[in-house]
Amino acid sequence: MGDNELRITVAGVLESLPDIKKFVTTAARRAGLDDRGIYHCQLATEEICTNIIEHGYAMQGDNRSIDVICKIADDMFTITITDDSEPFNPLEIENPDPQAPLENRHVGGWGIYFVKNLMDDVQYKYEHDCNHLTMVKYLRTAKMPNAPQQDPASSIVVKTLKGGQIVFVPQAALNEAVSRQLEQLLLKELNAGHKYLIVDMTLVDDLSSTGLKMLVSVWQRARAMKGDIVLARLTPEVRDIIQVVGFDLMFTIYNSVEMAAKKIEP
Amino acid sequence: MIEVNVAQQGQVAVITVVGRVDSNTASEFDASLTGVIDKGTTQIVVDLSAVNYMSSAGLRVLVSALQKVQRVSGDVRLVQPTERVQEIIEMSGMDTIFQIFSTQVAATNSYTN
Repeated sequence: MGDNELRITVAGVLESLPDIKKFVTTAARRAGLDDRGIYHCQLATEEICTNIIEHGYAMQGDNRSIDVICKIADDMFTITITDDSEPFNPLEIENPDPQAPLENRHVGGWGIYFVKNLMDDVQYKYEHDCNHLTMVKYLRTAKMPNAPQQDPASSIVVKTLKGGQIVFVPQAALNEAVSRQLEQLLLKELNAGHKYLIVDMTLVDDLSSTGLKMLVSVWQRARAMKGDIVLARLTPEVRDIIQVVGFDLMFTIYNSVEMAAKKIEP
Repeated sequence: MIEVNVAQQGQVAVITVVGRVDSNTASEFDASLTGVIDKGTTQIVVDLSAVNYMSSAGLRVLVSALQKVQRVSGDVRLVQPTERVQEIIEMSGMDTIFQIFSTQVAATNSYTN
C-alpha cells in the first residue's frame, strides 16, 4: 500500500546537519511517530552522519555527498543513509561498556551504540560503491512490549508554585495535539478565575502555527480579563520563531520561572 | 543552537547550558568547560535542565572533562537532565560515574558539605 519516499542530498560537512535534522523530523512526523520516536530518529541520524563526515570523509567532504532517504510505510518508518567513502560497517565496531569505570572509559564510540539501542532495527550493506545504513522505527510503538505507553495527558505538566502561581510545562514540541491540550488547560484555569498563568517553554523545541495561534488566542482572553499569560525559558529555536512573527513584542518573556513568578501576582 | 553561561560561585564554576548539544555545538560547550578547567577550577557544576537534545558529541565533552578534573581530585556534577538527556545518560552508564542533583543549589553546596 502507498509507500511514501522522501529524499535529501547534502554536502558531506557538519554544516549540513541542521538541514538533515529538519528533513528527518518532518518525515518522521508525517509518518506519525510520537515526539520520543522523532527524537530518537534525529539522534540516530546525527550520529551516523557525523561518523561519515568526520571519519569517512575525514572532514574533507565539501564536494562529496550524503543521501538520506526516508520511507513511510504502514507499519514502519525507515531512514537510509548513503555515502561513497571507503567501505565501513559501523555495526561491526565493538560496543563500548556502560559499566566501565571512568579511568578505563573510551570517550568516543557511543554514537553507534545509541543508534543500535534507540532504533528498532539497523542494517548495513555495501553496494554500487556506496555504504548504505538503514535504520527502522516500527510505528505504533505503544504496542511494543518495552516502550512506555504514551499517555496524552502527561504531555503537559502542571505545577502550582508556593506563591500560588500556576505553571504549565509542555514536555515536547507544541504540535497540534499538544497545543490543543495546553489551550484547554489554560482556558480551564482562566475560567476558574486564575488570571495570571506561566508557560515554561524549556522543553519546547518547535512551535507549530497551531501552537502560535493558540498562544495568542488564550493570551488575548487573559488580557481581556485584565490578566496575563507569560512565557518563561524559551529555547533558542522557539525564540527565533517567536521573533520572526513579532510575538516577542506581545508576550512578556522571562529567563526563569522564578522571575516570572516574582513579577506576577496570583 | 546553544547558549553556554559560566558563573563562578566561590570555588565552584556553574555552567548553564541552554539548547542543543550536538556535533555542531559540542565544540562551544567544550570550549567553556576547558576554559574553566584551564583557569584551575576543578569543582564544576553543569546545569542540563534546559538541554533538550544531547548526542554522543555532548557526552564526550562531559566525560573528557570529568577525566581531566578527577586526576586533580576535582569533579563535574550534573543538574537535572531532561527526560531525553537522562535516557542516553543511563544508556551509556554515565549515571554511575557522574553525581546528579535535582537543583543547581544542591549541586553547588555538595562541594562544601
